[in-house]
Amino acid sequence: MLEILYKLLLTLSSTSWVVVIFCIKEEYTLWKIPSIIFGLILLVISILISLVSLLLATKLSKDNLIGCKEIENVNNAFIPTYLGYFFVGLSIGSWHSLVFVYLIIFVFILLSQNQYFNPIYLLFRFHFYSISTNQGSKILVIARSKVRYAEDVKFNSLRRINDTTFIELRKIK
Amino acid sequence: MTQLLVKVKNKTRSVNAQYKKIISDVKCYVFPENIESVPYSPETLLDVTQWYAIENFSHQTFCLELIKRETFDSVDFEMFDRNCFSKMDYLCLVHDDIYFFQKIRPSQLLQAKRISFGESFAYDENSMSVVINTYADAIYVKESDRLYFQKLETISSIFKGIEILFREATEEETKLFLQSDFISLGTEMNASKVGKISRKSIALAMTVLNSFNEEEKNRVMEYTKKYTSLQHDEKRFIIETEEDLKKLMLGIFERFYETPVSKKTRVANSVIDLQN
Repeated sequence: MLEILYKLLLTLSSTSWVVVIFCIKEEYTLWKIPSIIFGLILLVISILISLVSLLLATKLSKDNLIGCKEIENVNNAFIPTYLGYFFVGLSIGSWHSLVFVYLIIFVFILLSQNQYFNPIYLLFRFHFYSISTNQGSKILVIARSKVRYAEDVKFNSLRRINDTTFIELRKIK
Repeated sequence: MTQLLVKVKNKTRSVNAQYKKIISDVKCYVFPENIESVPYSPETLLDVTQWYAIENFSHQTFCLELIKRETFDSVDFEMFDRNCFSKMDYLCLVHDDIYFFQKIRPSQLLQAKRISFGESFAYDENSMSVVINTYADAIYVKESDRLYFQKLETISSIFKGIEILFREATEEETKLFLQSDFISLGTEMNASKVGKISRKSIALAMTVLNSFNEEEKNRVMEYTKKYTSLQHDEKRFIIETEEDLKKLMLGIFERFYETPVSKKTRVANSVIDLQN
């Protein structure tokens, strides 16, 4: 149960940009707050949702990984997808379309393995690594430590988001 | 860090897909205090603190691939799927390079309507749980490359081929028995054809025979000839197969009888002595 909620939260925090960009474009506002301020508030809310998802990660199952065959930094790999969200947010014309398009994107991201990519984590100084383990499986590790060489890989406090995605949790300051 | 894995019965080839992760950081098993290691022999009866130990375990043919790995990375194993509950074979707890194994018998897989008495009482219509034994069935210590266990039969389904230890230990005894003067071996028959059950019975059979005097031995032979179809010449039974050996042993244990009223011939599966 917790797992499903967590996945929903992560998907939400990854895809909320579509809504945020749309609202900023439409200069939408509530309660007569100036639209710029409202836009900033939405951005802050997005960041907070991501922060909550990080805090909740402490409830996940623990794992470890020492040494691997190959490691690759993939911080940039999902940027095109991300830019895609921005363009979607910018090009939608009405609330009506936004709701439909957002739901479709939400469902696909939820079902795929990429729902954990969230550039806001980059703000929190996380890096994304694609790792081939010694046993030959490929996993994604989201970690704050900087690792360049396969032999230096030493993750002792990983949390399992799903069977192929792990996040390294240490104190977040 | 402690990881609890379970081996599931499935048909995948990759070792990694045969183990699934259940939970981390639970210490279900402890390493027994004051453990005294004893080399394996079926004759030795163990004291409470004594465990059999096999040295150089990673070089044995029946060692598991999981144990032989240089490093144990839990990320290689997927999470266990509840729907595969009935396919659980054995548990493996990994803690700081010590591996604890527990065989799961079907009777330990509990699937029932249950009321649990935790901090709050709860009713679970479909609870599934596994009983954890006080001590693991087998413990492997990577540092000393040693496997500790107490009962060979329990772990023989975890480490396939480990029964060879039992065979080697009972080889002499089995050969001796087959050379007894009331047995004539057929051309195909030898000690290696004798399976596990028969080997256990052989030790008992030797004890029983040695308690008979000459006259009693003859009577047992006649009794066996009467109830079994074993081929024999004057003094010896001709044993061609393990089946023949089993029949001979049933005779030695006097398991055949004829019912007094209906005159049926029967063989008793298990017996209880009613008098001393």
